[in-house]
Amino acid sequence: MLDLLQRMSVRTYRIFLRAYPCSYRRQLGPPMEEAFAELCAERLTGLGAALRIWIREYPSLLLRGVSERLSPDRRPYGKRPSKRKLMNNDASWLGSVLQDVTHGLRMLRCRPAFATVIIVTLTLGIGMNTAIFSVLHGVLLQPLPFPEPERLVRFGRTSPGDGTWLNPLSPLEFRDMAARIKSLESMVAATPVAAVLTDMAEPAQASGTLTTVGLFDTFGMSPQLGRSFLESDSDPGAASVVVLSHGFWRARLGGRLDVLGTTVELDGTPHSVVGVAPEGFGLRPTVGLNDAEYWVPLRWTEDVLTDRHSHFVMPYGRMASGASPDEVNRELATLWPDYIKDDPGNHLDTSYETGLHASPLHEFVVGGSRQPLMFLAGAVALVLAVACVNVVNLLLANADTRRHELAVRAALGAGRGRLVRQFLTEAVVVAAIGGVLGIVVAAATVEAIVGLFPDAMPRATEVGVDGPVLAFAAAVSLITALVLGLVSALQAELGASALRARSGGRSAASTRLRQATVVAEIALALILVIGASLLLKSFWNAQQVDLGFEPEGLMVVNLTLPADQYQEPEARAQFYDALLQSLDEAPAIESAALSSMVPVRDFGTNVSGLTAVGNPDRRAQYVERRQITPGYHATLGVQILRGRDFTRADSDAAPTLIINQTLSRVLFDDADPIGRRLLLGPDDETPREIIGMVADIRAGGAERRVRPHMYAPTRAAGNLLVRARADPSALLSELRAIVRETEPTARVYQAQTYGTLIAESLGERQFVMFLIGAFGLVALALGAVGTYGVMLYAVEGRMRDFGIRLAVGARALDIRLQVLRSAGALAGIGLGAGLLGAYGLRTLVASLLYDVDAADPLVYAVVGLVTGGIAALACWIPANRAASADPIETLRFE
Amino acid sequence: MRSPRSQPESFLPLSQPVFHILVAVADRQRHGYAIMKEVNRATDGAVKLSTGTLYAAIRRLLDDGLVEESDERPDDELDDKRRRYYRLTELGHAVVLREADRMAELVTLARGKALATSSGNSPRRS
Repeated sequence: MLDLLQRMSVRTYRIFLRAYPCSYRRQLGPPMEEAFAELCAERLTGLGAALRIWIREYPSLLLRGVSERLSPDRRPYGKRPSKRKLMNNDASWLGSVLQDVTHGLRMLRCRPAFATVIIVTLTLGIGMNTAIFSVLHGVLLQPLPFPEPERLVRFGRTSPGDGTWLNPLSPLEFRDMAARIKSLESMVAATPVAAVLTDMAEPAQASGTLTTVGLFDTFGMSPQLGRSFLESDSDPGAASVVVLSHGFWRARLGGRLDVLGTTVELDGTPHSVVGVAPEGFGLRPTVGLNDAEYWVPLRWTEDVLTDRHSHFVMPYGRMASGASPDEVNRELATLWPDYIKDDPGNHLDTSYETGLHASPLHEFVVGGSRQPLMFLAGAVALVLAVACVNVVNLLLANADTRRHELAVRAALGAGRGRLVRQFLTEAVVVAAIGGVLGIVVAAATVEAIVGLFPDAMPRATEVGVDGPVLAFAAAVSLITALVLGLVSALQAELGASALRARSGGRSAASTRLRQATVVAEIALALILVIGASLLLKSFWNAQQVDLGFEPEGLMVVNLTLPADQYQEPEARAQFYDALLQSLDEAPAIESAALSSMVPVRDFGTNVSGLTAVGNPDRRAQYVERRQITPGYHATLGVQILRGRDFTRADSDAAPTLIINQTLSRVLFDDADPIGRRLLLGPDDETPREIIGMVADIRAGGAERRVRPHMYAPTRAAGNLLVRARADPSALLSELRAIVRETEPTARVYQAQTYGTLIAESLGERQFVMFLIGAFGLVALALGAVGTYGVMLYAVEGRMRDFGIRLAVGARALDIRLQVLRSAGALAGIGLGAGLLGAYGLRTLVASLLYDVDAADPLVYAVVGLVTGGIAALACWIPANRAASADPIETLRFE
Repeated sequence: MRSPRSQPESFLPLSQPVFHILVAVADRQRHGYAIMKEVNRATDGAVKLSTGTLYAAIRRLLDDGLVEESDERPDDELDDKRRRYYRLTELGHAVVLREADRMAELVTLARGKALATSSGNSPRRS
């Protein structure tokens, strides 16, 4: 790794050395490179050291190189001019720079189209890069908003797969473990919950966290008001207490200072407010670290203290000062054998779960976003590269048209250095304008990204344009200015040599450079568009995946019941019985059912150690557990493959289960499961009979594998699934009416169509695809404009030739074909380079794809053809112009 | 190319990097990176030369004849073909001496007005 970094640094150094004039490089290039290589070998010991070396070496190299080019006549180093002279010199230097800036601005004003194209191009390039950097900075680079965040870890059992996910623990396991890990100073276990705020004017849902004690200590915070949870709050009989988030307290309770001791009703149960969290503190384990509006303590009830198999809490720890994650992991490794041995029910499957592991919390939260974000950063850097190539292109063309102006100024006594500096200043001026406007574009883009895709990445609320982002924008603008400035210096040199040669035509070097820009633009745009197309195809594939049920026409509805009337389970069951009955009778509704969890939206709540009676050696792990009412599978559109559905009698009679195909295969291979009986863990003494087997569904969404499922009958559950005969969104008012008819005080507080749910589950994929698609389009447009510009310019330079050829009898078609052929050669090289480049970079995109080969020949072929077509279109107008050359005009001019 | 000036005084005062580079090659010949390290060591890290600064100075010193390239090279296994070794010329030697004298005079002058510490070290700028 270090070796690679050193090699890369030396290679970059070699590139920057090109800023020096050729003679200088011949004389001192090799020893300079050698000295730099030695410096790297000795001092480059890590990324931090590398950064320091780059910052000290590269800019100084660039500046000195450019100044060597600009002023080969130097003053003797020992002699300092007198103070007066120095002041005069400074004043005249400053004056001439100001003069250059004014002249540059005037030139831009005189050529508004030219100026606009350059500034818009740079604004887009710099703005998009700055926007993506803001996201990168907010999500990946910024430390988590807690004191000493590097001491925080998340731990749990590892599962097969990519090893980044850590399975939750049961509270009992957490408690046992907490007593034994010495390298963690404090620990907390938490799980997301949600409740309906029943004492609000309109019932609203709030998301919260169920937590053990030690929440604030572990995260190094203290409550803004009141206290955190005490051990006594976790006693089974303790009064219900709640800690509110700062946002909840401000928004819903008006930030009242006397809030402590008042009550908030969660799902109909009054909770006494004991504390308010500090601003910005949140903890919602599954999605990262935001969003919780309240915290409630986990109760150590008899059930919790005896249940080792329900894994639903995520443990977090704060390492003791000086401890490292490796130390925690070493300790966890020593716990693992005891952990297996102490497990009385032997419900662990050690081939499935391979050990205990702790990850730094920052890594755990943002690790999954690193790859897509780095990919986006790379893509957006390519856009800037295309933008720069385009601007270079325009500057080259501009230099040729300004040869006359240059000649006049040279004749009036302007030295070569002075003229080159003029171009350099102009480059800095346009880059500065592009940078300032780019920051504005970035701020708007960031707002749009966070607004459009709030759930696509963790820590979205921390993304914004701040100090480091502004510094980044300034740095990008500066680099852009230097690149453009170097090219300006070069072009001025070329212009000057053309002047010296008194050549009427355009210099060969300048033409070659311009052709190279076309090749580069087409190649870069093609790489981006291929990347975007692969992601688009993945998105399409993910959307087309058969989820195993029919989401069209389905709607998920959540409602709330007055707690005092419906405390008893039987009362709730009766309400839902009546509601389902009314829904069945409604003509617009095909069917309706209740479920404890909603496929695609909810996951979690699994049971491990399931066995069939009579076969205790064959266990099923991580079986998703759902409670449903009769008609659930029919409503979802899932086929019952064997046996039957639940009836209303099942929930009262002997315990029964429906399982899915996957669970049946795990326990019984291909044998008929109907009539077999299951135990939900080694300690379970109530066998449940399997009465049905249903087809598998992808309950975790399109991109997750099918998991074993078991369904138990119930009469009351939190989510109502409704299948409409027509458009489900038109159903809402009728639904509300039916609910009100059944119980006047019941309220619908949330209703979503399944289309929305599925779109949300594809949020991150959509986010990356949308941005990369936008980058691809911008690059393609820039590439087309650039190609058009270069070809038009080339044609204009040769109008005389075309005129003469037409005059001596050539057909317009021949001329047109000739232009298209020469353009075709360039485009062909560009396309070839782009295809090779995309193929070379395919491993970068591969991990982001779903069911698409990163070297998909169809995508390469189609994108290649489309890009080629666009390039052909961009050349068509110049070709037509060539064919329309007027022989008479040409000869008259001669 | 500029013709070398023969009067040491005509080069004074020397800039800080140039003075340190000349001092670094005063006792023996050194190559580029060795000069950077020696300057860094001698000034206790206060002066850090980048390769760009170093070679810009060396180029001028070569042009003006204050240093010269040396043909003596160490054994092959200790050497790198790209390296150039530099040593002080007689003129260079005279220039450093004059510069050191000049600075000493300045220090004496300052001490006379009680503006410098007795050890001769000027207070470090923070």
